[in-house]
Amino acid sequence: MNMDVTAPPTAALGMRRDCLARQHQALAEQLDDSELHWWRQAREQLARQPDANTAALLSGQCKRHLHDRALPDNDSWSLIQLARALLLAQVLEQSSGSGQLSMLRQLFLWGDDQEKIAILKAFDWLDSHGVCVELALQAGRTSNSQVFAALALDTPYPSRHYPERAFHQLVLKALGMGLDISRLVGLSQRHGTALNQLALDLLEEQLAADRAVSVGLPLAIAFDQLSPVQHQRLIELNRQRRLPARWRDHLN
Amino acid sequence: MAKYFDPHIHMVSRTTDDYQNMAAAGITGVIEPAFWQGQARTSVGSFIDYFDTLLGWERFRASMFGIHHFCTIGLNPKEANDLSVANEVLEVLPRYLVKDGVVAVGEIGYDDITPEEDRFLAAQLELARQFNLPVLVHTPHRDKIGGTKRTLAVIREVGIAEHLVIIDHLNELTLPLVLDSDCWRGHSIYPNTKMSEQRMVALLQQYGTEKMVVNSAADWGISDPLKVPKTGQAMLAAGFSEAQVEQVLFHNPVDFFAQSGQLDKTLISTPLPIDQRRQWQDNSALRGQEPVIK
Repeated sequence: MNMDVTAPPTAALGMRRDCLARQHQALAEQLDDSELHWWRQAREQLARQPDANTAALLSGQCKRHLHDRALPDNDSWSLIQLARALLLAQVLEQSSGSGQLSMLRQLFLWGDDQEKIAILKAFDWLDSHGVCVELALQAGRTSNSQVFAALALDTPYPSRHYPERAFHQLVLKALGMGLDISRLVGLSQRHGTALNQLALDLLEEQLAADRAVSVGLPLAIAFDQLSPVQHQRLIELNRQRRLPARWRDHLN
Repeated sequence: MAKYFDPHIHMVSRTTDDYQNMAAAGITGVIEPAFWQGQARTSVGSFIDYFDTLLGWERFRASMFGIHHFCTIGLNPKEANDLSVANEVLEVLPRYLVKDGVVAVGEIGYDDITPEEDRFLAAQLELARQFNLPVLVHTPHRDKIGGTKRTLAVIREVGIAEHLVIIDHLNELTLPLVLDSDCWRGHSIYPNTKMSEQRMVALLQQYGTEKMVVNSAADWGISDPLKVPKTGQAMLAAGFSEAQVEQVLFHNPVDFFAQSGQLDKTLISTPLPIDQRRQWQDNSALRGQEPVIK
């Protein structure tokens, strides 16, 4: 039993400034005149008052001053999500290195679920060093599948920074929530015998309960790393026609 | 009418209709484990108010419908991971474990199976040992087999008597692991997930009725507070006797939690007398309705 529980360190975030600059440009190109007017004012206000209260107020106001819509060439982000993420990035850039993580924690805590989604989607831009993993793990304990999807899908953050065990839990939770784990970036690089065992345990549990097998479950399995016993078990289940059709491609 | 006891149900999330239907179906008592609220709490005060509700208003509300209400107190595994709150919650637990109506430590256990969860599970098992209380242990939704094995290992590491522990939310794959121990075996019957009445009956047919416990685990989610009596109907339909039904769905859970010394089996064998004229802190659940007295 591991009893070594220590407080997370406080360190500067490694923000991807080139990426954030491109996103600023992409957002500005989408705004109409009145939206652009508000957006510039908001950024100026935040530059003058780079504190959590101001950032939280402006993040909330995005919904009132910008019309939400999908972004061209980026179907996983909405315009308001991007605006909120960029305001967050701005206030973090203006914070001292050691204060960035506590600022991010504070704004995450204050955010409603839509604001949390914007924050989580931006983690990979904001934190190239993996400093925020503890916060990400806390965020991942949500029961809101949209919030969880923002953390888990279409972002390389978990596969880049999560410890193995936490990544496996992320995969299992995504499956449990019925999310499309083909959008879980870096999954195949995290394949292995431990994840195989967890996936096969889940399969057995679902079969015992006479429940539908999670659609994406084969994606969690490295079929070439199955033990002979595990492989034989799948062959047997397939022979009994208890596995969905898409499993057969992996077993031939 | 058969009598039932639901040893795991989160009544703060349920309506007065539920209480009425449960009483009508023969449920004489419930145990309400402290658990998480659907979203993370951000201060110890939220836990304190919640624990006070379980001991106060909810117990009163149950009594308005003739149902005996007990609770278990603990830090749930999901929130054990937030050390900024969890350490403070652990500090207040002892004063709640000695309150009237508290029959166990719980629900505790694993969620993500993290080192933090290890630490708070072990600490709360130690508290249970210190206060001579039974323990209600939740098993995780993910990596259920691994979580159940680790739960049993920690129980043995701490050294609490296994007969004082019930391991809950078991299924076909995890029950056999617990059968090798002296722990009691909890099963939650849900409309679509966890365990169904029919699957429960199959487990009882395969493994017998000893130390087998059934609950509804009904909460704010899609769940059914009548799953205990419905399991009774399924058992009868499958050929179990009325005595066997009552053993599993009344005597077993009551015998387990009676180890606390806080639950009188004779008393809870009959419904509480109902007097809806009574109030709790000058408040009533009647909302202007005519009070029932019986």
